[in-house]
Amino acid sequence: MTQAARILVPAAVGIAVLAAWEISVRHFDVSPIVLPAPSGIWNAFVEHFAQLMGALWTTLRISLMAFALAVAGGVALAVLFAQSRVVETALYPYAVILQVTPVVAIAPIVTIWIGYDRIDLVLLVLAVIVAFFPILANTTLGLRSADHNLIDLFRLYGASRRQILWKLQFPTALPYLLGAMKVSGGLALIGVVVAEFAAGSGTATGLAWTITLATRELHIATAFAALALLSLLGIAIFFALTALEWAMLHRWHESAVRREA
Amino acid sequence: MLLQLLRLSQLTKTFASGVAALGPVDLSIEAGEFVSLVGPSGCGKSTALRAMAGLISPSSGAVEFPHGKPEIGFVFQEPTLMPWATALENARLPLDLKGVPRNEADRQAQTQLAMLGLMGFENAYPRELSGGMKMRVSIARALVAKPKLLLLDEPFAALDEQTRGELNDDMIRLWHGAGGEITIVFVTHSVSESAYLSTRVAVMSPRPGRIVDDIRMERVPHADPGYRFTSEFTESAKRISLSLHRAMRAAA
Repeated sequence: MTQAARILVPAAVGIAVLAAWEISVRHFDVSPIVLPAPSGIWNAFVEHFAQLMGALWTTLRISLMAFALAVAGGVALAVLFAQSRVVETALYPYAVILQVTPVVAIAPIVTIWIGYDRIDLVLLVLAVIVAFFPILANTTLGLRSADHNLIDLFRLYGASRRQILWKLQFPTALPYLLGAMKVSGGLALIGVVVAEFAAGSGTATGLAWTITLATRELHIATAFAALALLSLLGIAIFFALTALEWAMLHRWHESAVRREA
Repeated sequence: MLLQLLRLSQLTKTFASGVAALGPVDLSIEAGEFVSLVGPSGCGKSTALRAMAGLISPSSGAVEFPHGKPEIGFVFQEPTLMPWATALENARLPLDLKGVPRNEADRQAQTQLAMLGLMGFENAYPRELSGGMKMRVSIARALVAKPKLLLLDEPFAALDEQTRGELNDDMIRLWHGAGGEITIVFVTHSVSESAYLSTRVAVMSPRPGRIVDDIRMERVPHADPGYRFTSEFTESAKRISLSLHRAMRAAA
């Protein structure tokens, strides 16, 4: 399949579905409260453009910050774990507990602790909790996966612990970390959205809260517009991280090798 | 060849699992020798080599360097290269770790790669290199810090016969080129490889490995593939082979 066909074929499917949707809604005269037509969603998007962009920016900003914090914190803790089994044994169970506890269940408590006047911070904390674990788990595994013979070789040449960490363990862990980042990037966005639904809106109105408000007021087309933006945001995050992974690994990693069939 | 470089005295290694891997082994190696350690797989010859490098600590006995610990180079059975680093960066590693300035390290690594026939492949990543070339990078890395003692752990076992023959000759040339300045300990399970390469062959018994025979070769090794088809070579190989068989039978 050519490069052009790989883009054109799914695009054609999308356009066909949208057309069928538009025609069906008009033909069967479906109420816009039940299912708005694509044209109606577009009109809502244009009409509420400023509000939607503001919400998009809120969601995007908090997602990116949560993602950055999850990566920084996850990697830092993984380094600590890789240096000391004792620390890992002591802390790992709590990391797991934090991971398996549904974020909607802790959202109300976190909201009360931080306060309704700082909802953006509430969303940030909850999203970090959601996005953190894959980074921690994978990076720890990656740091531990360094070739033992290479570790021996480093020691033979008198390498310090720091040299082993920087020159051997980090590069070994990089593919693991980048894989985890693809998962975590999506999770950060999901974390913000779920947290918004759960914590409500005081000072921050993101896309999820926009959907909540719009559906309450039966502006279903606006809700759909916000939903579409959320999907686009998720796709953008995924592609950005895939591009990052390719940029960092394609020269040497097996995953980037193209084989002739 | 009078200077004693390395002495193993009553060296044993028992792993935490309780497996007695080695010894007791007594072995004295003089500067400038090319010693092959030959033995059946699992006899502890790799363990002995790792103990010489200080990568594992003996359970009892000692590894001693009577005239001070020399610079050591180590080559593993696998090329053991960093996949994210180019041939040059891999070869440069020992110098990087020692804090040699980048330009100087690059120059030395480049020279070493060129000596091993890898000129033009400095910027290739390991996945772009053949098995034999990867092993050459690994040897270049072991040589770049100018070791006095080069330890090789079945380095060519996974290579095809052609490549293996070429690398055998490279090892001999390298040893000659150093003019007695380098001592090589070469672990192999191949009788013919040891007969071709060495000045001396130490034959080991099955686990726990001991040295059951210590054969001084009459011929100084030369890079001459035709030697493998001479009666002199056959005699040497036969001698080593019979010694190995005796050791196996005694253990059975």
